[in-house]
Amino acid sequence: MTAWYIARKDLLLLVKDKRAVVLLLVLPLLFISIVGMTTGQFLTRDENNQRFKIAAVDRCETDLSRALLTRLEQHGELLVARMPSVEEGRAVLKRGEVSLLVMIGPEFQERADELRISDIVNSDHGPLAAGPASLDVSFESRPAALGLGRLLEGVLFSQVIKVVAPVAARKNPVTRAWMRDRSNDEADPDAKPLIPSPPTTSAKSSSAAYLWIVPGFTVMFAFFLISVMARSFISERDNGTLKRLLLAPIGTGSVLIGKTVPFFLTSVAQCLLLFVCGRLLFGMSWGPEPLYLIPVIICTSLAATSLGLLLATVVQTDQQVSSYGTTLILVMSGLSGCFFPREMFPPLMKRISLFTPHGWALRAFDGVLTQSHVEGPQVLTCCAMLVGFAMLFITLGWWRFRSLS
Amino acid sequence: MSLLEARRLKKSYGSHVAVSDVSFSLLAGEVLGLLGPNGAGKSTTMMMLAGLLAPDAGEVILGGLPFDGRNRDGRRRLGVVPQDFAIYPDLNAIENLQFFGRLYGLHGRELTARCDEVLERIGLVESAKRASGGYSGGMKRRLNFGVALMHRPSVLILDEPTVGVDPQSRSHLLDCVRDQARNGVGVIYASHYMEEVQSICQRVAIVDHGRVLACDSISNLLKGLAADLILYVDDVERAAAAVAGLARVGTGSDGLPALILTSGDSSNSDAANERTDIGERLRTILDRIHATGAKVLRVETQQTNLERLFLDLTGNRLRD
Repeated sequence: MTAWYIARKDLLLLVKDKRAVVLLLVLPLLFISIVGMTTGQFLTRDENNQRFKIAAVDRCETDLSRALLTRLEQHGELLVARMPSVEEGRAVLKRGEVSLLVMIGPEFQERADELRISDIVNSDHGPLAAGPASLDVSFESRPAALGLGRLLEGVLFSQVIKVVAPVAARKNPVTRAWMRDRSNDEADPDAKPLIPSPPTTSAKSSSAAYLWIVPGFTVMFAFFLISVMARSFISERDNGTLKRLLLAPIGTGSVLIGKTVPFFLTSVAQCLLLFVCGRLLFGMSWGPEPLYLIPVIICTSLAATSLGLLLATVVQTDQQVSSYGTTLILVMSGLSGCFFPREMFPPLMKRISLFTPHGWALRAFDGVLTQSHVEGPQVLTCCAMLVGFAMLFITLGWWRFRSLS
Repeated sequence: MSLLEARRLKKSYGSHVAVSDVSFSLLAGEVLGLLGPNGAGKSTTMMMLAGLLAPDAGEVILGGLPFDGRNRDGRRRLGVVPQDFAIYPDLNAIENLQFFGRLYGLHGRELTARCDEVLERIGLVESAKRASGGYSGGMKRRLNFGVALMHRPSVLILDEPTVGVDPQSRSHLLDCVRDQARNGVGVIYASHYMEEVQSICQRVAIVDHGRVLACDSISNLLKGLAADLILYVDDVERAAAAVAGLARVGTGSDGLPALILTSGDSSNSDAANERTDIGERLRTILDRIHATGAKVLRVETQQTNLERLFLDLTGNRLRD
């Protein structure tokens, strides 16, 4: 019960501390909003913001080249801007308005006409071995987006092949007959089209970026709380009230629990607020089984507050909180993937990230939010690891506190 | 039976011995002054008494039982007023008092009533709902004191409770201390203000270099204090040569060189004999000064007080 009196007092002090309220509740929302704005997804569901923007120049201007452009325009992940000339295409690429420039050369139709179905089947050898250039199609991308440019080139080349394949197929009697049969089947609504339609963007994916932005920032800000918590211990020491707490007829455990509970509750409230705002403001999905978010949030907050407890028993001054606390928060956040999607981490970094509670928290959020089916045991394993971290930090913090007091 | 007793307390920090042998006792209703220069071992002693620090040797007896700080019943009997403010500046006086009251087991109406009572006693009723961070130094001191009273302790340990306050607040705080003593509370009162200690303490323990140099009632301590006669002479050097062995050259109250005749310099321990002795010595001195042709300008007596006793026992050397 005495722990609750201390907790209640600290909650009251937290409410009165405007700086803490801003740091713990307003700042995370502000950050998420800013990141949302930079990705063009704040308070908007414009699908175009999520599509890769490319510019296309058609110097061939035949039915086939137009069919290729139409196909690219129908692709759900691409936003195509048709440019009248290569120069203008290069200009928009240079300005960063598009990620890639596709140039369909004047010989595109002619070279497509020369292809046979065997050239397409055996594309690593023969006329197509030179890639898009063999069809007089070329790509240019910004130097800063080299990896992305190559990826896009691969995707676009596959679309080119899909457009020219029927041309080549008509020259072979077997495939021509097969194509005729397919044409007859067109009346059948269940028949699959010869060339499948390109994928289109689903309504849900408009909030996809938030699926890593919100958990990333939630985890980072949950752990940001450790510096506020450490400051609370320091001000208790500086105010001389820690001495009074130690003089009171209560145990060390009550003092530590009482000092930790308010921050745990604040952390849970902070996480819930971010997820609710993620849902309401940014249309973020809570995954197929949102109830799993509860244990993940609780365990993340537990790990964060216990790390705060340990830090509070290590630092002595406000300056130490600023230097050690902030360094710890940023390093752990960076290592774990709070700033950058973990899927893009190299394998070694993924393994290193699991030495931080942040890594396990992000893994758990990923399991709940981004999978089509929540793997309960996997999420609960992450929660168990977070509780393990919490127990370790609490034990060390308790031991430090006892030896200091 | 004494409320609190320090028995041969010892405490070292590494090779530095902070407290080497401190013993005293505190009775119910008594205010015991604890005096000592900075670094004398007062704070370490008080921390051991409060249970915040474990002694290396010796023990603290509280209410007849050994007390080591882990004993929660013992902690309930103690009220400690630290030298530095120990209050939450963002909370008001009521919130501060009630919070600490709850930690000592007060609840509901009892807590509210006691809080009102303490607020009244420390004179903070009108400012009770203002954040204590905005209080004046005197108000903070009073609140600091009030927090220790909330749970009605039987022993109060006060560490310089009046530092930096105005005379009104000081007088109020001293009245509060007297009140507590009248109600049977034993008070240990550490201070550098000798006049305060002299006015409220029945007994004084003077501590230096980790030891109790003297511990007795103030009247007994002052009784043994040597009285000085100060003779201002127009030619001190000539007069001093003439009275060598009977008086020494020193500094008078106005900072001028003078001859000082100390009653304690006599080998007589009997008070009546000592008075005769100093009278004879004074007559001899005056005769010899007269013989040199020097003139006695003025004669003063130096008043005996606690400060003089303190300086006599602990010396004039700076400690900081």
